[in-house]
Amino acid sequence: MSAAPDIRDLAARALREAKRAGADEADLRVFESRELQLVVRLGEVEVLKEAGDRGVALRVFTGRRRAVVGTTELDPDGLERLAREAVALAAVCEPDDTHRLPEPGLYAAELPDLDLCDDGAAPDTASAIALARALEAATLGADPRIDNCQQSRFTRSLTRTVYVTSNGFEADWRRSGYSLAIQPVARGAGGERVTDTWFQRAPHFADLRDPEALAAEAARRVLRRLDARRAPTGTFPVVFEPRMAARLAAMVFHCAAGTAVWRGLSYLADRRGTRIASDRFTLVDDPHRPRGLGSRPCDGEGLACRRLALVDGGVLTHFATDLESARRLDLPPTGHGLWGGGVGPSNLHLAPGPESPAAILAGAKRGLVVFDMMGQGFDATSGHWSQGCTGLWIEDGAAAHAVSEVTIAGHLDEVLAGVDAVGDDLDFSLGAVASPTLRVAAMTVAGS
Amino acid sequence: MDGGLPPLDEGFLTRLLERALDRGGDYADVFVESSRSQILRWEEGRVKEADLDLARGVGVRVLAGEKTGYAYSDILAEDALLAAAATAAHIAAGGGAPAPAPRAESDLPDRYPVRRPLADAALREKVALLEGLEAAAATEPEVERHLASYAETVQEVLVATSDGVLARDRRPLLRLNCTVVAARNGRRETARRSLGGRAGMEFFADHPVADLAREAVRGARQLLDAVPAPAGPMPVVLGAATSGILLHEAVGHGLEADFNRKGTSMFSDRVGQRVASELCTVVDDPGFPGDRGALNVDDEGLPAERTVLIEKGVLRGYLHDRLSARLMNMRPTGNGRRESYRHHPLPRMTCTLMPAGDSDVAELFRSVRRGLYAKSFSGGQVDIARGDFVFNVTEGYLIEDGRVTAPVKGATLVGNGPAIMGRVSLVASDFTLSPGMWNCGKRGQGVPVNVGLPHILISEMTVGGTRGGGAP
Repeated sequence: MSAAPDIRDLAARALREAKRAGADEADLRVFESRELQLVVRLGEVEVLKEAGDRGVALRVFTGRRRAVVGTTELDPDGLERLAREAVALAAVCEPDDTHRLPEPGLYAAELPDLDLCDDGAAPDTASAIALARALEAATLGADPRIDNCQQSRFTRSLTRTVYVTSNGFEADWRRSGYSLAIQPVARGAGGERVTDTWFQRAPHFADLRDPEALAAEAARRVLRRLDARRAPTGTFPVVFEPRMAARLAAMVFHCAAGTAVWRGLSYLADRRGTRIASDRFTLVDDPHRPRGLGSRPCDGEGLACRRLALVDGGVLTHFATDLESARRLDLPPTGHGLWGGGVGPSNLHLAPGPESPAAILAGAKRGLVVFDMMGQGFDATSGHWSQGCTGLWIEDGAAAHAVSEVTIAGHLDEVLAGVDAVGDDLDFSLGAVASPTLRVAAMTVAGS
Repeated sequence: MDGGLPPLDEGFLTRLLERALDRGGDYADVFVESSRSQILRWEEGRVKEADLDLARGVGVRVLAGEKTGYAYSDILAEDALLAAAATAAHIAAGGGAPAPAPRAESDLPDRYPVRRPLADAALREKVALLEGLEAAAATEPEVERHLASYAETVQEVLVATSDGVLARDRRPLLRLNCTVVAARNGRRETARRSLGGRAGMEFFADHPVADLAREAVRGARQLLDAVPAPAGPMPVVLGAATSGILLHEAVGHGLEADFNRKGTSMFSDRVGQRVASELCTVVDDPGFPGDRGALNVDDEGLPAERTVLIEKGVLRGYLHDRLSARLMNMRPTGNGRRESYRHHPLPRMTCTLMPAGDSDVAELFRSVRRGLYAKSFSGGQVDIARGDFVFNVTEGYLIEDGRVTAPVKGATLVGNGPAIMGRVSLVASDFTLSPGMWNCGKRGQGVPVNVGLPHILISEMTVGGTRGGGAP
């Protein structure tokens, strides 16, 4: 590869160019990353992709006007053009008093080392292929009904990001990420095909579990989809498996996001300090988990962040804010800013409860376990939720058969107030947003 | 910034292809891309922020049997690109490279007839579009907030292949989005409407922005009056235009050849069989000039073509890219698409539609005693293996005794593709293309698409709402 200047030097150069082009203030993010993507299917390598890229995104402020410009062209001429283009673009915007960098005192004073990067040395490509093959072979070997596979996939990414601001903040961090995923296909007695995806993600390669364990779970999950029937229509208890409960957690976060709140785009806009859920519902965001998938030393705007319960025992205690929404709402920023705008969670999770998933299912007597949700049926402004799902039907407190073509619906107020059991099975290996098993006492279920 | 394709000459393209094949792959291609995207965001009565993104890069792909090797670089120096080609070449393990065939430039149609290029229009003119939305939306009764954005992308691509293709395309794409929040007595509802296409600024002469704003206002205010959606199975009339998302989700994805080659789609091995009611014909057509789904050439250098997927209920074929066509011994259909130079091609849809039928629209409603009229949709998702799908209805109404009555909110439709297509019992004569707003995601890659449909009646479909007890 060509010798390329260090991205820290590029960052400093781009800031100088922005100032020279007329910006009052500026910040920018430069990244360089390498990725490996490997797909194995039926024992053979199907896709092998390896590449590296670099990019810069520059944000300029001129008289409280703001524009963002990004490019993959990092040569000196490119950066100079980038800066000029950004300042010209800002001129078509109108001023907004919230459009300025933070006061320097708000920046994170310390950037904790969260152990988010291994060196990317292992595995080499041959070992990665062997790993994906082993995962697929173990899944296909688990049961004769599993007779095909969409893909067995391994990915690795290594990213270095430099963030600098014209008022003195500088951060330079590296992150590695690995994932292993399998998508088996099983065939039922009537020729019916079902598929499921199961995976694991980790910032360190050493934290990926052994492929046999992943295969066993993938096999169990695809096989239980066979022989699906329709669910009855009516009002029933609904149990959300961890990955689906995490989506519910993300919906609540979205409604508690300062960006949605100040715009009136959240049904929770007027509800801070009040009860929004049953007392079993505690929603925590924890940015400093070592080796966490969503961990970050500071937020995307360089502001300090810390562990925070957004919903505590059912009471909405905090809105998650970035600098702009905090200024709008006259609240302190909570360190949830994303660079370039908006707010996002770090390691968002529902606090675990005392019950085992089996006890939660047994307690439902007759109802639905949701293990997959499709479509986007949630309206944050009104709080209405209607969602297509796949799952298991519960009779006499035990899973009786799979169900498909079923929808669940309700207003989020009723859903959250109805949370009557929270499991003890919180696991962070599936994503940065996590949850234990959750049961809602009653939702509208529509099937046959 | 100037943009434009990186200047890679013929000789260097040949060197790249030679390097890509020097371990003996069957086929190689080089995808050169330059794209320039601009967004203007409107809020609180003014342009609040402007974004510009410029990306240039080169992707090199090698096919060897069923294997794909892929590498890309946004460092455009010759040594970096040759290194990418060598990385992609690793997928093949043999030797004896076939020499790339001499290339001839493809002669292609022009399906994006631009009269006033986006790049030539002043930023002020684009801002004026947003001001037009504001003027039509913000002062309406009950409107609490109006958000809008203008987005344009111009993507230039060049594809050079080892089998002698050299194709270029310059693809404009624009979209105007309008979101309105309406409030009454503490209740708030949001409606979002979009339109756009592969066109220049002349697009807005034919599509007045005020109409878009009025539609969003009407949508949000109507939701304030809406009753909860019913729940359970019932007859459903799908509205013309955006309901075409049903075809895209319920049928289109299952007909992308990669799933069928691997035997993982519910349509696998079913060509020639009845898979839908005989009233159903489904076509993928990149040929509507200026449409969001229009395409001159796919991202593998092959002409984008109209493909009949289902004809009078019988499955006729799949959507192919080069790989699936070669492995299934079929002719490619020009559906190999990719999000950018960072991605390898996959079989993808363009504009998926059902042509007009014979029925009068009124006839569809007349036959329904109690049911749902699903007029427009915000999106959907499908499970390819089973064919199960979900749609979210953004504008829906009850049908009672053959008449459209109260608006409903929060309706979701679920079903199974082949099962629902078998229950299409009337197809109206009012075929309409959807406003150009759809993005399709597959394996982490997004591409612009469109859909089109006349009004159709489905004899039974499960509606997910909150009002239980079956049909209203």
